[in-house]
Amino acid sequence: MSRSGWIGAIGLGLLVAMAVLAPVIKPGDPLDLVGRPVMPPFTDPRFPLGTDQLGRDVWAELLYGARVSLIVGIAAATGAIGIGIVVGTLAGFLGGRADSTLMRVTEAFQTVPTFLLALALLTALGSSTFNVVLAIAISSWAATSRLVRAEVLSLRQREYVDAARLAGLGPLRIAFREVLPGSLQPVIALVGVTVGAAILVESALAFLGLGDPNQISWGVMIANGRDAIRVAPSLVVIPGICLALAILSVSLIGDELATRLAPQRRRAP
Amino acid sequence: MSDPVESLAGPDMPAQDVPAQDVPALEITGLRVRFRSLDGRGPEVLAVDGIDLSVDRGRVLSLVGESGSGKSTVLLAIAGLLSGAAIIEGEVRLHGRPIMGLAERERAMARGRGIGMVFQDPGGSLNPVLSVGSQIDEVLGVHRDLHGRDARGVTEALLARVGVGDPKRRAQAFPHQLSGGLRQRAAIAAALAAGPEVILADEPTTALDATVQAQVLDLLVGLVSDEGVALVLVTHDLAVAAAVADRIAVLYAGRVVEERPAGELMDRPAHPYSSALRAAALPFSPRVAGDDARLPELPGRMAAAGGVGCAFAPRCPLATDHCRAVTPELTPYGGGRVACWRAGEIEA
Amino acid sequence: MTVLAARAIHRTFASGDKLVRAVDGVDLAVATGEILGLVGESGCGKTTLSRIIAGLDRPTSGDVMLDDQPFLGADGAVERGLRHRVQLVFQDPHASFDPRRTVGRSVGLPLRAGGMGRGATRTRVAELLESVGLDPALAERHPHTLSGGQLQRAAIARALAPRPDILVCDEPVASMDVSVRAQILNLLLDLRRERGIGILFVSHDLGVVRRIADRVAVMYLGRVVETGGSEAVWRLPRHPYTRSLAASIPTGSTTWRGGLGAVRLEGEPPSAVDVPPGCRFHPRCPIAIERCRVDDPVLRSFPPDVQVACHLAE
Repeated sequence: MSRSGWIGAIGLGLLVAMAVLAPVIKPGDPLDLVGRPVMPPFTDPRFPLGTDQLGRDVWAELLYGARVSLIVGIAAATGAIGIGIVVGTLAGFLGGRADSTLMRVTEAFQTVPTFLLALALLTALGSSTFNVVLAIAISSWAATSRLVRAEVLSLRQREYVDAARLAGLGPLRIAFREVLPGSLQPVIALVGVTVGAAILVESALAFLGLGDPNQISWGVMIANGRDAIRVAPSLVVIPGICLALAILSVSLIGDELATRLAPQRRRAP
Repeated sequence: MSDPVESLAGPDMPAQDVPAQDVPALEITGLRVRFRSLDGRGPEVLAVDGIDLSVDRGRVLSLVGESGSGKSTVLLAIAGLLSGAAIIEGEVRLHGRPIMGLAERERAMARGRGIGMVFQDPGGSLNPVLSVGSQIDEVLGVHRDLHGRDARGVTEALLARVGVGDPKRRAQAFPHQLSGGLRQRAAIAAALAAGPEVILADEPTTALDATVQAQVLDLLVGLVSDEGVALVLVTHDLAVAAAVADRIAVLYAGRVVEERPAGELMDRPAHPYSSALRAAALPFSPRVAGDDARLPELPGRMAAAGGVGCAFAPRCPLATDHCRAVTPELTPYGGGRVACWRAGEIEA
Repeated sequence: MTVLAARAIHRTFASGDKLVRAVDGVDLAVATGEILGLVGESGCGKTTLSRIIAGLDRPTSGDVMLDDQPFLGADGAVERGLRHRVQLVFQDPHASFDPRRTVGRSVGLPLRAGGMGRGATRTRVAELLESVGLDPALAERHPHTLSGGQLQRAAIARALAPRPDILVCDEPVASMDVSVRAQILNLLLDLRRERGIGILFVSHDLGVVRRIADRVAVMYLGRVVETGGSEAVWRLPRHPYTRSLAASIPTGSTTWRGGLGAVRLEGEPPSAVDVPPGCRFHPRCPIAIERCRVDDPVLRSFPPDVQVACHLAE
């Protein structure tokens, strides 16, 4: 594994550890008021990263915020890639009118900036974790769809796909069982980017107050800390660094996966 | 207008390059080619195991064999087109002039001028983004110091010589705009441009349709007899070799197993492998009426080069313990040479 | 007995604003245990025709019948329940196997698609591989670990899996070494003898077709120009194009080129975009007369069993 791959793996490992172990390390609600407001980091061993304006433990907020980032990021990216794969496969395999219709729709989604679309959707749907996932997924599947379609288009001409038709398989089974698996490789390169982007969009939505109001998240922490940025810059800087590191880690992991799988490794007899 | 092709080896050539009459146009001696493994750690692979061949001006030598015989490797080694992973030993002489000892630049120049190369896929040897004519012009500029309008005039004459109709227009065409047959003709024109004495052709008609194959074979033979070049033709098809070659060399596992005048070899092959190849060439196994019209089969697969004993022994109907233990060397037979302990014993 | 019959097959493609008439009215029939050789040069439409007959491409018009029932429905798709009866063997076995799947999985795919269970499929695949002369253990291997000849045998095993009546072979031995070629051709000859399978053998290699086909159909620019018993056609080719083709096969004689003489064809086949008026062969024909430029010849019968589309055939 490359060095950047290791960095990504360690970063992602820490993120997962934070998310999973949050209730063990800091049982109770991270939104509880536990101390004096605006304590700087590294001053009180009970609150290693200090407290915010309301006296909440920043370390606890950070741990629970990792959960939201990770869950929303992965769920939204999974949703986006799933939609993209289905639309792209159908468009590429069916061809003709179905293809042009689906691709017009894809283009429509691609021309609207992801964030604006998610913002609009969330405003219409109302704030909840599920709706945030849905909004991000719906606004970011287009790239995957185009990629999968291009792959499927080239693969469906292959003779082994004709052989599957001769075997008597139905068109949907050919599309999803025979053609699709071969076209997934380039999608893997997109996974890191898509997860990273989803994490970022989630934070941005939370920052604007459109996240789930009952969940702490890094975006909310940055939004809250903004008011005290002069007296307590750490309230913005700490979640900001976490966010940056999380996105960096998933993209590095994505790259590593892509390069590892790129020259399809031959299995020895 | 004088025929520019006729003057290909003409007065613009330096004096030392003027061919002596009694030396072969191309002579290779003791050619061995090994390939290093890709990571440099695995064992080396022997592809060509000591080959001596020569071809005179105005003659056609055909190298015949199946995949793994080393026939294409021989050609690429002569042309200097093998990758850095290849270790080449032995000598290649162009008109008696050894080229392996030359410095790299000189060697490349000697080859570029002395050897023209024609490949199976003409699309592969022509640059897709340059017009056919400009690629031939380029060769003329490098090797014959012809430029601009002079070069284009010769280019058009060359195209006309290889049977490309309307050469003025076709010279401006890009390779993909030409049919397979025309592309191969253009590639032959490009191979002729430097005025080579030797043309190396690797399966030049395999990708072509039957009627076009006949045309291109005609063209190659015409060039040999009219221009006095020497042609080395690599093919898997013994019938094609018989149609154009003066001499045929049959290769097996990196060695020449039989090398004789074409007619002699086709009439009475002396090596059992030549005989099997001849039987598998369809014209020699005419259909018998009735259902039982199976073709003669040669069981097994080609052995790797460089083993102990005769490499063909495991597939040979005549093999003895002696054949399996001692590798036969090429020895005179008829008008040529055969490497077989039981040469001539096979029923043709 | 005729198993498969193609009638008046046409297939046109749009190429830009032009119409490509790839197949322009072809009739063919293959009987039980018969090998029909379909020959022609690149671009003559033989591959398109073979794909239509195998149900991989839809004809613009025309019918493909199996035992006098339509094999292709009104929309050109294969009729339900008949798919397995016509199978195709492709030219390049390495392209016709999914590189990510084991050979056994690909060979068993038609069986699985037909609803056969996992265990039964495994047994049957082993039998099939054995029947084409392969070690059943190869089922566990991936395609790239097999040689071209081995994989083409596996491809034939796959085509045999659904017990077809007709095998369409599209250049199955092109680019193979002569010794491997002989093995594959012998396998096909055995299949038709032992199982009575009818074979449509598509090839540009006349030598091969001449060697194994019982009957032959010669295509030129989307049409069959001469068809009949293989021996009759090659012994006395009546169409000038067939004569040139026959003469283009190197005979193995050192004097072959000299004998080519007058039947040597000039030029190359024109594209199916610009099909010449009258007889489509007339621009290259060494014996064309005025009538050939305007009058499109139809197939006429000659004894014993030959049909030729040439005004001058006799």
